[in-house]
Amino acid sequence: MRYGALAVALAGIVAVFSWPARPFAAQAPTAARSGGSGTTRTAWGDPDLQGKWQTVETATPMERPKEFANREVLTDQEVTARVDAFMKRNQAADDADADIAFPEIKKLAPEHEKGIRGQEYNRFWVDAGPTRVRRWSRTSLVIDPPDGRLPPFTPEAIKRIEAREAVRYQRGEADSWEDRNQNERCLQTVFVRVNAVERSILQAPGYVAINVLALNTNEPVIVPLDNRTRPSAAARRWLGVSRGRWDGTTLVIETTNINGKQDGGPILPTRTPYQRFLGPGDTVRITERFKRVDAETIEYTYTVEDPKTYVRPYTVMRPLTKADDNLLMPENACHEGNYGIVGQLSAARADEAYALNASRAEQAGRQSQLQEMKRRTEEWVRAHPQQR
Amino acid sequence: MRARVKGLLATLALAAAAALFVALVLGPTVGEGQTSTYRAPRLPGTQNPNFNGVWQAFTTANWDVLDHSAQPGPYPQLVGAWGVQPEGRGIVEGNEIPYKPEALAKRKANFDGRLKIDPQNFHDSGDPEAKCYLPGVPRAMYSPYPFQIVQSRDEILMAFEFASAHRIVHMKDHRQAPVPSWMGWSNGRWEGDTLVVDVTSQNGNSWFDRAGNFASETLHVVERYTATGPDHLLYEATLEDPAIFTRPWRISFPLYRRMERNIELSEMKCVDFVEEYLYGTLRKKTAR
Repeated sequence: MRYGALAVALAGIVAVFSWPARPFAAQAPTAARSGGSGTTRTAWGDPDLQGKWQTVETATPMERPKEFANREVLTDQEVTARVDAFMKRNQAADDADADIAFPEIKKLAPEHEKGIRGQEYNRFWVDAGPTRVRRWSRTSLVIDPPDGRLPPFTPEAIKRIEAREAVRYQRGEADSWEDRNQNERCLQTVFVRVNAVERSILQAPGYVAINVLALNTNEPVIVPLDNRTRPSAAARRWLGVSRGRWDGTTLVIETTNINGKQDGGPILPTRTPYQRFLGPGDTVRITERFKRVDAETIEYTYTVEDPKTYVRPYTVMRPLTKADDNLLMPENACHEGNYGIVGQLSAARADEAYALNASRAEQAGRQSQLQEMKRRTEEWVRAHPQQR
Repeated sequence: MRARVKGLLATLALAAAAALFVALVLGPTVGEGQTSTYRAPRLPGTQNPNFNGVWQAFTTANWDVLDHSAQPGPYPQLVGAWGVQPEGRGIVEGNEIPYKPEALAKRKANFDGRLKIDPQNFHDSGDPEAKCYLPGVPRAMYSPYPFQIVQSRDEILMAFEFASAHRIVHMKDHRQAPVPSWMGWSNGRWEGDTLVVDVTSQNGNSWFDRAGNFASETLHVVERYTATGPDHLLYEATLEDPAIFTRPWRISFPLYRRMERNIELSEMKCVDFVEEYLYGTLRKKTAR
């Protein structure tokens, strides 16, 4: 009897020692369903938001057009009309045969430029592609304030903008790189991040990592979920410091410690500054919410609070839709390939040199006449020594 | 009684033979050239070691991947001891990079011009790190800033503090890189507890260090990451580039877990710190 028990014990010990770590390929964390709520969860119990997500094109303007006043939603017919108008605008730009924008340019263009139309030349950079518009009935992306429009600027903010415009008035369009906007300089701001076109969400215990793709941007934001403290206001970043938590199954990310260069730094950029945030940024708090409403959709909102710049906070909603896992998020090597800024600056220097040389060329044409004038004067002076 | 003892011994012998068979045939494959007896905790939901965390190399390889003396560094008259190059042992096995003769000449030209910006050719002149360009692989792994591994379901993200560079290691659905890039394309797999990453399609524009060591767009890097303790990874890489080197060569160094409480990556976006360095000659003379 004892020997039998011993044999079992020894066999058990041997079995334990001989169970190696097998060379598995990486296995997916087992997605477990949480009891009752239907939310997919990671193996460590966090709601699972992983995957690639695209910001849905809904043809919805950021701010509510005035004709819709206090209406939050459109009727079905109004949505159809909005989608149709949007598709028509896009098609016109992509249609190589449509001469809508600049017919005179087509006539004069050399052979290799004949395919380029004014709007198309610019739209290449905006990456419209074959657009799939999803029907969405909100009148604006701004969902708060209730009028669907961005809040007014504070008086302090207006004064600041006017002072920056006064400096702007004294400068050329490319005196320095500081005269160009954040896109042209390949700088990323927290506002570009929240308006991302695509996101790839990865999760690990205690973290959510969001790879953000936007114009001139592709980088990860790694958000700790353990409610750790933030650095003091002395440490500031272009993308701020983010802290995340779960509100039920909604991921809430709060970002502060943003640097004071969000509007481009010491000089108001010459090109489209009003399309970007107009405050310095150091008093901004941004709260993002990712609420998964079904397997294919995240309702994403961000709220901007900046008492220095806006009289009250505002909230923007942008639905996200699940994209193919193989969606390619290309590397952001904007700065590495920034030939544009070199072109802008050297073109401005060339313009200045051209103007200077034009003046000097004209001046050179007068020199022989000046020499003749001078010769006559010297001749008169020599002939009239007493009369000077 | 004797029959029962015989039966018992037979059972034990069979169990031992089975255990031996299992250990030899199905045992873990350890890293080539390195045997680690440490077994890291598993990432929840997987059979794989958990490499999540903030890591950093502590070599001087970013100055020079080969053995090097202390040097005054560039412009000592401006920055004094701030700019000193420290002495250091290299990370290259055999302390030799097997350059072809013409490549060796380019390495010297790289070094001589490492802080020279050619206004007619910004993008190809000088050390890319000084221009705040993306560091490429393997330089990102030993650049003197931390990086964070976020190990997820089918992808492993490595986020580097320097210039917000990052890599995605694709753990499934391996495919070829669609285009070359600064950080290359990384396909990864597990060999036992070692993460093996195959890196291709870098664009040939990054350097290995500030000394001008370099490769071309045909560089192929195979990395191995093995946990040697709870707070240490061993990083090994084999590099080959038939356009530049006469044979493959290897580097290795430890990666240390950053142990500070609440450690996180800081932000090192240096683009607006180098605009003067790159474009200063193009600014209007009377402008700020």
